[in-house]
Amino acid sequence: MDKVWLIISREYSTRVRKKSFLIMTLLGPLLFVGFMAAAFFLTQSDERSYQVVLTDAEGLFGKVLFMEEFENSDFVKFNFYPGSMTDEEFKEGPYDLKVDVVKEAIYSQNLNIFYKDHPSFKIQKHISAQLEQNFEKVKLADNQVSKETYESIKTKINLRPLDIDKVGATDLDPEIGWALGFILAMIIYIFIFLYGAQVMRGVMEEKSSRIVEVIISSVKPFQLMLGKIVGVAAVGLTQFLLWIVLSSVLFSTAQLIMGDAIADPSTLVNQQMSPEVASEMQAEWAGGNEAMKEFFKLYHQTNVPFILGMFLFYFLGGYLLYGSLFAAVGSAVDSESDTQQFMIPLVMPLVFAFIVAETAITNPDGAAVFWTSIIPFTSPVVMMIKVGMMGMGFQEMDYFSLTISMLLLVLGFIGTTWLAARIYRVGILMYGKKVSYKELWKWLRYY
Amino acid sequence: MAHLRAEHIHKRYRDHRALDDVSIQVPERSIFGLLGPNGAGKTSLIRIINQITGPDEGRVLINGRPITREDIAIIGYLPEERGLYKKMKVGEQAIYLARLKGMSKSEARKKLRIWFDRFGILEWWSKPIEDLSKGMAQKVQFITTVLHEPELLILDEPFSGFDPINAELIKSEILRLRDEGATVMLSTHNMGSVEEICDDMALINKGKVILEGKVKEVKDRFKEEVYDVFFTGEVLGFTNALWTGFELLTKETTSDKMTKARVRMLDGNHVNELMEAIMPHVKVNEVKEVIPSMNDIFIKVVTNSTQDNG
Repeated sequence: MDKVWLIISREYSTRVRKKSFLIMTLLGPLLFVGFMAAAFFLTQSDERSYQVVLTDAEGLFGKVLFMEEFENSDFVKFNFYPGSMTDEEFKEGPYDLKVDVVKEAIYSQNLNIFYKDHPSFKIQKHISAQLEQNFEKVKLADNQVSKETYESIKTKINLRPLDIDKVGATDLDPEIGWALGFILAMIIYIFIFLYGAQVMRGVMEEKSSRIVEVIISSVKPFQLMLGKIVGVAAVGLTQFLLWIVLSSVLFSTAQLIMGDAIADPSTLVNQQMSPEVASEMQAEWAGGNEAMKEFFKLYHQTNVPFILGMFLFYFLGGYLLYGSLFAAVGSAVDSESDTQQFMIPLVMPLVFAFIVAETAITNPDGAAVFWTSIIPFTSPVVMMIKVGMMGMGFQEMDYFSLTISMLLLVLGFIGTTWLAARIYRVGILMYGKKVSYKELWKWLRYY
Repeated sequence: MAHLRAEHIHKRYRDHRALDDVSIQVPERSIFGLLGPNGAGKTSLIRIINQITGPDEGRVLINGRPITREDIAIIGYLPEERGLYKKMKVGEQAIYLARLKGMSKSEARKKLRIWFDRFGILEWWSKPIEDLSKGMAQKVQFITTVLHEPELLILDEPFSGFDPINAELIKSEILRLRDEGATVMLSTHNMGSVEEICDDMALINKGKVILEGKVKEVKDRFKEEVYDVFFTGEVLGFTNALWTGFELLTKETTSDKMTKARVRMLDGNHVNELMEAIMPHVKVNEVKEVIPSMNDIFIKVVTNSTQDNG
């Protein structure tokens, strides 16, 4: 057992001391914060303004529509053009966007907008909001309904699901639970492939440098494989921990430097959005105080130890399950280019799991979600999403499938480790042979 | 007493029989040469002794009892395919390998200093392996093999990859280790070194032992009653004298009128009869028995056994 420790500590210390580890550890949070900052500055950056021309082939303006009721913004200027404008005239003319306003358009759901440069979503949003507003007025007039009457009958409903057993506890959007689970599942997924690949490369290095025979004359192949998998896991956990620490340090520094912009959404909203969009967003943010209250409510209803514990369990379980398979692949091949054919079956289940995970939000009790949340190859992703929803109280605690899922994951990684060890012990001493699945099957049956 | 004994080892791989009822005995405090052409099964046998793979049948005994995992601490194994972690530093790596064999860190460091000093490579301690030449890395690997003072050393092709000077160094180290009490089993293609350092040997071909015993005895067994006679005088008279009871194989005249003739004894004749026959005709300077080299024996035995089988 102390030999396994020796192997673990070698795997750990050589990797942690590598320059690439240091670079990745420092670069990870920098990239993360950098991307956030880049996204922020990109949305902040000056957008060009668009000249929109509204053509009036049917002479509607002045009678039902009024040009002065179209509000311009910093980025959108509305212009009037009497009569119809040919494509040639639009191309030659000074306008960037063209909308043909005809009676039929007012009553249809879709409206064409011709462009020279594709307008951004924000620009489109502003234009459509203005058109909606003005078209509504036309419709009100057509139906002889007053604006006041219309406002009073206009109805918007936000459904708030309330659990009858915990009335008062939950009035938040279950999507938050799903999103939390999704982020955690994503971390597990990335970790499995990042560090699984490291295990694979480590095994290949030992094989190609031929040191493996020296080592397995001192320890069992299984001990060597296990030591490597656990050692790499420890490296991953270390890096992960450092990322969290560094990210939070960087993030708070960035917040200090950039001032209120990131912290307070209202400034962000006012600066760059049209009032129409801004008011919508502001309603969503519901003001600072309200948001804080919501946050604390959220925090109180979240079972943090449960989510954290489950995360660690599925994180390690998923890694161990796949890590040993990566080790087996590494042992079977001579070079990195031969790994391709064996990688696909390793990637597929998790990709499939994410597809199923999408449906978990609409149908959390469906058969697809149930089965993928207990099958070990997909459970680290799918069950994590359920854990997110359960842990935040959006879903009943499903102890039954949780127990089965955890049990199967443990059995699963014991199984794959056993399987991998059988391939590994043959593979590491096999050189110069292009290995097929048929060959691997033979190795499994050696005793 | 046999330090290491392999009894009736069989090992079959899917498409061929690697070892077919192989038994060997390695006496204590001696050097044992495991010989054989490429693909004969040497490495298969060595891997079984090192418990890297298991035999299909048969067993390995060490000091008279079946070998166990615990015995790896008393075995030093140098595989044919050499290798070390390229990025790891020499000293660190040597300590790691020593600890895997059960040595403590401080003990490993102390002994490594002594060995590195003896090999004159102390200044490599902090260099990564990838900066070393192949021969340098081989020296380091040899040290890591013998560092824990194993009572049984198993060396697969220990001289390959060394220049003559370093091969000589390794040879003298192997002899020294034997004199200090170790039992050494080595496989090699280098027949010269077998004659020089091996006490016992076994020759495997196609998974079977086809020749074994003390090196001296094996060589004696292959003596063919052939003698080299150096003389001066009438060559014709010499030839006539060998008319019956002897066969003249070759003859050549060297510079100072000296002739060297290779003669085979027939009809149970001995050197005495040879002398009687030739002394009246020529002046004999020297008579020397021709002892076959291991190289000749190797080629002869392997060629014969291959023909018999195929």
